[in-house]
Amino acid sequence: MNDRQQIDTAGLAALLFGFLVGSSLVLPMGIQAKQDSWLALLLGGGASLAVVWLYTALARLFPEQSLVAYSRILLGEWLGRLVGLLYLWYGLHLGALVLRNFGEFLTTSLLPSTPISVCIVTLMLLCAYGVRMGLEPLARASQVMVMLLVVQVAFSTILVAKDVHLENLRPMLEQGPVPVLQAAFGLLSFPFGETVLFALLLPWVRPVGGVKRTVMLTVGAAAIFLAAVHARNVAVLNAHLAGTSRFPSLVVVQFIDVADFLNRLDALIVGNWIVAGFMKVSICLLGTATGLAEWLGGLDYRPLVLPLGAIMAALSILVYDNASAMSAFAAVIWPVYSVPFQILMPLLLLGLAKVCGKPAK
Amino acid sequence: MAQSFWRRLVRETSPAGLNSQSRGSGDRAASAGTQPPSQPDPASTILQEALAQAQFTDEVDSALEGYRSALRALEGRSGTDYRAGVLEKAQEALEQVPVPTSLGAAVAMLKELFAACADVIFRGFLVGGKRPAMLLFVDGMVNEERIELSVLEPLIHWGTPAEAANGGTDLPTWLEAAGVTITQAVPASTIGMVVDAVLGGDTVLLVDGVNHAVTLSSRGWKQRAVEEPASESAIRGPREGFVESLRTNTMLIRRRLRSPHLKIERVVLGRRTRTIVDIFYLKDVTSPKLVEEVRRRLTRIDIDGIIDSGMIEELIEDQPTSPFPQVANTERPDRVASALLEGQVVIVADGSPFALSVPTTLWSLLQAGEDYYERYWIGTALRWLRYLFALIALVGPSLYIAITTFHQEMLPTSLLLSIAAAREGIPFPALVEAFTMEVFFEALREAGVRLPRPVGQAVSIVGALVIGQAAVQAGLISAPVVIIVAATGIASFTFPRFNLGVAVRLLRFPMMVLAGSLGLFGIMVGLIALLVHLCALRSFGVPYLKPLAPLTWPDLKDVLVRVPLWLMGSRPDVGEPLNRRRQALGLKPGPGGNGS
Repeated sequence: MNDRQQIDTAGLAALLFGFLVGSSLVLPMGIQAKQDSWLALLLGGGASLAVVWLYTALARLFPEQSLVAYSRILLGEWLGRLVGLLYLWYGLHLGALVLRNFGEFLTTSLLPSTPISVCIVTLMLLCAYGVRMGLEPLARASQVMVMLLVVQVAFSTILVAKDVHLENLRPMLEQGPVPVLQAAFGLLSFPFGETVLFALLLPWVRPVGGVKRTVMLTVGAAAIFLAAVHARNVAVLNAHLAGTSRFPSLVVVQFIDVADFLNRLDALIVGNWIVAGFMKVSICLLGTATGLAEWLGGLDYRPLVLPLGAIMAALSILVYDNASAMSAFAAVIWPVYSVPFQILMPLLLLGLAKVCGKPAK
Repeated sequence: MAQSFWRRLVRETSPAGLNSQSRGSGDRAASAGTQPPSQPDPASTILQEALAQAQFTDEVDSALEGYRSALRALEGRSGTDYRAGVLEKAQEALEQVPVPTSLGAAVAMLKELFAACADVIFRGFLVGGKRPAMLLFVDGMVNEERIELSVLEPLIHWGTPAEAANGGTDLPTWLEAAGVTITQAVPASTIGMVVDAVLGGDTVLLVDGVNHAVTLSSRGWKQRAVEEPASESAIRGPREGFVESLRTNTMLIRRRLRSPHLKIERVVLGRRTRTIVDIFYLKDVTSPKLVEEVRRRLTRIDIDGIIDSGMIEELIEDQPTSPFPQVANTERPDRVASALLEGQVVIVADGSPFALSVPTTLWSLLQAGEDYYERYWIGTALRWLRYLFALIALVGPSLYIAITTFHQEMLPTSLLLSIAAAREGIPFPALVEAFTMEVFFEALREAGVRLPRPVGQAVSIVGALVIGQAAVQAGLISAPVVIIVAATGIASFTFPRFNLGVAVRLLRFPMMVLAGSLGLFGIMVGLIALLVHLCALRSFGVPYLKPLAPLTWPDLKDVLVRVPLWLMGSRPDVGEPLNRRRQALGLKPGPGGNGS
């Protein structure tokens, strides 16, 4: 394993934070909960700590081994390989969904007359370049991008402070706790549960002992950060508008107007969105590529990056007919589809590991 | 008396080819035969006899014969590469030979090597009027007066002829006894060492019957005076800049760091230029691993010639395909001194006024020495100004292209209207317009650098008037583009290091194409790719964006701001310096006694 592939816990935190916060910052989250979406985010984030605990516990039991490796140890050669392959598919599929989502954003809001395939292929090429550079540069770039992200959010929040109406956040729990819990469950699968993909990347984090703590803290911080941003969006826009607009943060930023000069800061959100897309797709691609290299028997993952990227891009174009199909899939099918990957399988693996005791190396 | 004797000696020995320019042994024999000295003088006779009675040992003979046949073979027509290789080997063999005891043999070998070198002088004389000896030096590289007064005169008049003839075989003892007052006298045991010393500007003394030579330091060539550096000027701070002479440069550095821990190691690079390259580091600060790495990368170089330190830079980089400079260069000794104090290694090549320092980071390339000499508020403000303009230099024109082509709605209405009015009737798309103007601007800059000074003025007038004004009036180029190009031009001149500025200027062009085809998305794609590239880049193992990525909080004190000197307690962790603390605590000054 070359040293270019090792990251420290700060790098892991940056990747994870970017992965979680990036796209969720721009999209509407937990809309069933209306003005309580921030509460749903906190609950979903809190619940996801249990999911996170599953795969970080596995990572601690099998240090320096990825999910592809330890599923073979726990489930046997063939079944383990099958599980590994399923996770690779999950990474590929998730990457394709993010790419498509991203392409839709670009073609609707930024480049209306550009074909979506051009946007998707360009972003895919960028991600493939980043992934070929290795995990370490990617983690460092994420550090910088996450810092800029946080600064951007703080900056735009200060500038939009004059439009914040806290009464928009009331009444709390207007229709009882049920919608909030429903929303929280949805949030558990997207975005928080998706971090299960990091089970493919955790073996490269040093020191191994710090992984669990870092992942837990980062997921918690991301949940709080997202809750704050969405509370801001609702406070500025009101619950209805925040739930129905496709990119509420974009609308919020359009409220900014300082001295008739500092306005139309859409570029901030656009930049945010592109950075987010890059981080998320890159992590999916990196996880899939390194996982596949390991699945095939410890090859170098770099030659696999471009072919996998091409498959991912093609999949993202073919997978939906149109944007409504995408929304429907994301809302209805995705949470159910994700459960086995995010909860059941890690639970099964961890249970096996606990029951059988720590296997010999 | 002494002077007249010496003059006579010169006059009478020179026709015999002893003081003549060397032209190979065959020619020398011929000229000696056709032009015998009119009056046989005892001194010149002894000398000629000594040279004629050269005693060739087998070793000398075979080396000489090999070299001569290699030389002859070189005159053939085909396979010259192979023959040049043979010659190189023969030369190496010849240079391995120890200095023969017989003066005649030694001179024969050296004349063979220095055949047809019009500037190499062989000066024969008799020590104490009895023992044949020879001085070797390159005309123009030595201080002749010093040789004359401190070497020739005392040796010629030394002791009695009998003493000279039967004297010992240890040259340094001799020189001591004769009162030769040259500060550095180092024995040389092989022909190769003699050759190196002569070509390096030293004078070599060979004496008959002694199995080694002595190199006498006598360098004295013309060199440029120490002046203010042309490429890095400063309002405040030292005004000295490096020159082309290595010795002067080492002096300039040593004078700033009067510590015995300042070590200077020497390597010789370039097969033919034999350029002396000095490696500087502070033994008690610099990481030994770093020094070892620099040594390893330098000694790996096997090349014809090193003409400037830029060539070394290109051969020791970590990532040769990157547009970004990974080795810092400077003309300022004060910058070198502060780089050494930060634990960096500095490389200075003879013949180049640019010193290299490694490792370097993007941030240190954006710093100027003056940041530290002026008040820290000024330093901080200047730094942020540079960051801002670095960004403008990179994406200024691309933002203009992207917004006017794709995202007009992002501009405030009144601004949009005035830009639209200016662009009305312009026959080109924004990309073509801006790209053309940028290319012209680059051409203008290049012409300004290369042209002789009086013509340079004409270029700037043509540039400003024709391109700036006429193009706008003719309706070919819109005025906003001219403004953007001018602003970017100014921005690209704010880089304290020329090579970083060029890298950013070059990257501007692909950014413009990206902006012209994909708008803001294209710019973001370019910026992210650049960020990932910079994150992957290393300079001698140190991440290029350190301390921003990987994040090193304490070192941000010298990147995001320039904190006051009394807060700069620790050395930046670039290249793992040996001791991090560089000054005492509590240096903050105040009224009524300094510090707390």
